Amino acid sequence: MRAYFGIFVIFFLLLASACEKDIEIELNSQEDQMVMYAFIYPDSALNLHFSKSQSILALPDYKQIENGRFRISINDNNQGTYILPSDTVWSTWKEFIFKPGDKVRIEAYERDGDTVKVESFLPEIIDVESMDTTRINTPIDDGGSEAFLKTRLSFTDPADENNYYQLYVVREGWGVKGGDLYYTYAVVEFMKDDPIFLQRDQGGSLLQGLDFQGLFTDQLINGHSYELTYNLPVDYMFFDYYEDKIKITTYLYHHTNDYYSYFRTKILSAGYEGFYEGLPIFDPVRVHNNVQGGLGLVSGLTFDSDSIVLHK
Amino acid sequence: MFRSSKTTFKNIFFLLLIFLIPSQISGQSVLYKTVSFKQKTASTAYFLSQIEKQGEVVFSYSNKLCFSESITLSKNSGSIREILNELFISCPSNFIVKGPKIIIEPYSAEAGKFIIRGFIRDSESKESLIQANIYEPDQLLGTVSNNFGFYSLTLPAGLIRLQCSYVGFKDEHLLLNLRGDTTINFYLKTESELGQIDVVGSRVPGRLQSTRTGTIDVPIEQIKNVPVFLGEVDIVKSIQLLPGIQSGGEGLSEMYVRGGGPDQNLVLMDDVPVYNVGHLLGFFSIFNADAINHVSVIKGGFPARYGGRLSSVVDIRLNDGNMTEHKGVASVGLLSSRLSVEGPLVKDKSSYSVSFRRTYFDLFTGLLQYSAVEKSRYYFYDFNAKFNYKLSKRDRLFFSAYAGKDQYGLQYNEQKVSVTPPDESSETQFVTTHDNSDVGWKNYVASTRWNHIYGDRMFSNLTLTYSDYRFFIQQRLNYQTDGNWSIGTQNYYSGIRDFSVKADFDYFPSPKHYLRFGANLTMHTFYPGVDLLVQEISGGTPIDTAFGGKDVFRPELRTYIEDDFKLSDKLKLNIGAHFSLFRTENQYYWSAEPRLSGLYLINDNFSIKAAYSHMTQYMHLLRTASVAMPTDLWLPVSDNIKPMRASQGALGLEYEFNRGFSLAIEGYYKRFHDILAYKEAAGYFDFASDWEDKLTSGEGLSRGVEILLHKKTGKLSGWIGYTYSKTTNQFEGLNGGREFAADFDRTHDLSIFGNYKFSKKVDMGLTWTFGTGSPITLPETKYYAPDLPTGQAPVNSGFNQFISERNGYRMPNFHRLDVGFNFNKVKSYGSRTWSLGVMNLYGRQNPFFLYFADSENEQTGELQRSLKQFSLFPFPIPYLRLTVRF
Repeated sequence: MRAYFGIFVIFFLLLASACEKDIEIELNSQEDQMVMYAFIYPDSALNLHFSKSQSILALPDYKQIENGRFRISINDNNQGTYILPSDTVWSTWKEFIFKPGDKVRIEAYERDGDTVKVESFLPEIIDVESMDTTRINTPIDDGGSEAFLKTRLSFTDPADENNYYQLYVVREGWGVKGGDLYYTYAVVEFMKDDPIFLQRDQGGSLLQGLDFQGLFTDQLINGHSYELTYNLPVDYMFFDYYEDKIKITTYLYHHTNDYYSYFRTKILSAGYEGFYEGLPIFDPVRVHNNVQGGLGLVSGLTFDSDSIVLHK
Repeated sequence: MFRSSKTTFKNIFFLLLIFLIPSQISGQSVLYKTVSFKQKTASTAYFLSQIEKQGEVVFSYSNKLCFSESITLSKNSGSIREILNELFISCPSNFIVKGPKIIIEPYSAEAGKFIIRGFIRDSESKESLIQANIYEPDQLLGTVSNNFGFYSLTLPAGLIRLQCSYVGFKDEHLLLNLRGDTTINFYLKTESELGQIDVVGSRVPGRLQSTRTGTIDVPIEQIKNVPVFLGEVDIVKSIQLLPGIQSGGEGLSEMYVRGGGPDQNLVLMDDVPVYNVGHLLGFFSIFNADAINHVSVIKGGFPARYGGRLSSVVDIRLNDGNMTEHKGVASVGLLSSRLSVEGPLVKDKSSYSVSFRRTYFDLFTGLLQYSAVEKSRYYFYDFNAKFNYKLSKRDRLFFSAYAGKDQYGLQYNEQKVSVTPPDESSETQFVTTHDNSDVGWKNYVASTRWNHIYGDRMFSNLTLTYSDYRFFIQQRLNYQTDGNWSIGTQNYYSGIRDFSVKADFDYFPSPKHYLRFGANLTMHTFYPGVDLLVQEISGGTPIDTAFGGKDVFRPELRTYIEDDFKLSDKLKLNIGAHFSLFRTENQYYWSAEPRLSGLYLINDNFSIKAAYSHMTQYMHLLRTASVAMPTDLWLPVSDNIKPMRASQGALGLEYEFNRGFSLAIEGYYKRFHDILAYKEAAGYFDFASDWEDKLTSGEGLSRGVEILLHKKTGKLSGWIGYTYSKTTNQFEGLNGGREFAADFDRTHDLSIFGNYKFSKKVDMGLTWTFGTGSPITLPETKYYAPDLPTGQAPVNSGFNQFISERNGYRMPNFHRLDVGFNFNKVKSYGSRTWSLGVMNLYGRQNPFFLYFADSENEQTGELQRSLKQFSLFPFPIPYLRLTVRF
């Protein structure tokens, strides 16, 4: 990877002889559009974001909505119309409780303004049928080897529908520090060597692709049971000074197509940790959205999980 | 007795030459005098007497001539030649002009025709002159030499005059009494051999000229005089100055021809396709001008012999090598040096031409980093070699090869490794090791060709070619495992390799026909990305592992036939057909492509040209970015990805003021089908998706008018090229299905190139280019983007950009002036030239790309967001180069 970036280094050396200046191009005036976000979990309150888009030349990232309303239906049952608070980024609505399989429809509008609407659903939970671990040593790019916890997770993909998944692993630690409870939280970066993550055989290549953060589809396993293998670096199993207990939890998320597409296009548009974001020598990537008449993403997401617990 | 008759013949011949040539040069105009008649119907004798009166000529003819008591002409007036052709339509005749006399000599029969064949070459170097004209000026029968300088011409027996002509060279005239098949080789003299005399010469009659539309032959000497970046003579950058051809960005060596992408150009180096023509991310092209004999650029009206790309053919022919003496050119510049040598291996039988160019960035950086632990280096080189051997008068072998490479390397991670001698008697020693990473790309091209002349009318060329383009990353690491030092190497490569066998035939059945046919079988192997891992533990056996993309093998077959023929004195046609077949994993794609181009002479200087061609392309370049990157992947069509196709019609007018000075106006209309682009939600670095899934296909349309005023010879030479064009694309999956401006669509494009020779010692080159700004996609609004609940890490800033229109804006207009001077001096060893000049003389800040960024207002201190322009070469950049010819 280090060498690969060399070619970009050459490019940027050339750029070093260059100069930049402000220019003025009259951008087409685009009306501000309503923006809506919600990530809906089963048995959780609804968190909603509403705002408006604004000129690319503006400094703030978004514009608040004044005098907004929204109407929500769950499984075609109207739940009522509510006033949108204008002073928060996210508003929490404990009135609504969701379960897997629910269909959600939200319409939002400004007084004398636009109306946007979105429909989504909460996918069914895909059960983690089993999870086994083995300690292994694996060669790594820099030579030598590194110890991993080889983990096998089994699940069954529902047939007759396209399914979108994400494997998400979290490390939590508990202990006592100075008489107070001590808690740590980290997302585990695991080795994504399983073919399910790679439709193209590019794993381990010096020309590395983007890390899609554990997203995958059922393209290779449609309707079948599958044992997904992934390697967790053993470093995550080491206790820090205050920790007495560690819990490594693997979440098998079941996503909607909209969430999956939004997530992927966000990663693509940013490139290598934002490396080519905004650099116009790369084709622009259009970020997916599912809000009709506006922008943003509303989607349900469900998960099942299994854990490993270690005590000092 | 014998000696006496021979001397007499010589004297007569000499006298004929003195007296006849001037009259014959002007004789052409006698036949083009216009005469008119009061009546269309009369006897042959009446018409001849009228012509004698009006044209002030005298006819001389034999009693074999067919006279008629009553003959009806199609019109009342016309040139003498046109009237004579009509009068003797039933007994075709030669009209030989001798002063005021016109000899009418009926063709006896086919048996009375003989073949003249041979080669046309440079008198000094014996290099082939490609596309040189050879013709009989009175009968207006002629042909052109092929890519090896060969010609074959069938002419009626008797007294004939042959004229051989090539731009930049003095015409050769030859008078001979043709009594049988004969071989005549022409050796033309260049301007320099004639002591800087302005070689203009007589122009080639219009009816003998090419039917080709959209074709430009650029004299290599003109290309060498174009002032360029850092003094690196660059063929591709010179070609970019021609109308209808644009660069991808300032300083880049990509070509966008009539709305087509950079992968739609077939670049041939001695008949071998070259897949990557750029060094240093496309800022320099791989062609060393010192090694090149001829460059031809075809943008439309593609002859049937070419196929496989939609938009252009750049046919580059390398020097064969001087057959008589050893010559060389050495050149030292700011960026690179080059050396070319050529000469005979066996005089007049075999020769060689070898050239080499290399940059020295790495030498400078090596000095600067002498004591540094981490070191980096970059270089590129080009190596060309060509050998040829005349096996017999009818057979000749050629071997040509090219090797070029770019490499960027890093040396890092210095470690001291302890080495214990085997006998353990002496002290432990320490060795310093480094890890190394290299990235680069390389081209290897080779061809072997066998020319054979069958009889007198058929020329064949059998070619075996090899072309290999690779992008590579190499990593070499030293590490310790269980106390043992080991070396691990990992290589990644991608690319394409072709093996090809090709047979081409040129058949000259009569002066009215030039038939070409042939076939080509290519075995493509695409390497979509392969990794090789080797681990070597000290004292152990290396362990090899290969993983990654599978090689994709694809065969491709092409056949063609074309005829360049003269339908009448005014109408010439080139009709051909090209057939291709390409195999994918589970199916065959094929294409039968008609090719048609025609030329109609309004008068001898002024012609109308028209052409239609259909092209198919079975491979495409999966691009990393909008500038050339070595990671760009050549990939074939597949069961799901259809071949790209284009059909193009063109109509043009050409007026030739005099030899080598012409004005051409051409309009074209070109439709693209199944062209490819990335989906809006995909990108090159998405290796988790199959490449087929990342692409979407659509349609394109390009139309435009091109004007070229081209002066190839004289003290002042150069061209003015202007293009007005519009290119749009439409994809169902892009831009909401709406039509949008194609990348690098440029409405106005103007290029002026001039070269002026002040004296034998000093000349000046100047280019000025202007272009409408390239289309660019800019977001107009932005909106909130939260961190995702399942994100491992934030993937970007807190907002998303909203793009309403793809390529909806244009960058500021582009213009630039480059000026260069050459100071030549004759030396005892040959000559030397100092070249110096300035690129971007008036420091225009041209846009390379635009982007949005936050910055602090210098006056108010407030943060503001603005659109910024990035310019690569915003100030005048001088260059200096010394060239020595020996």
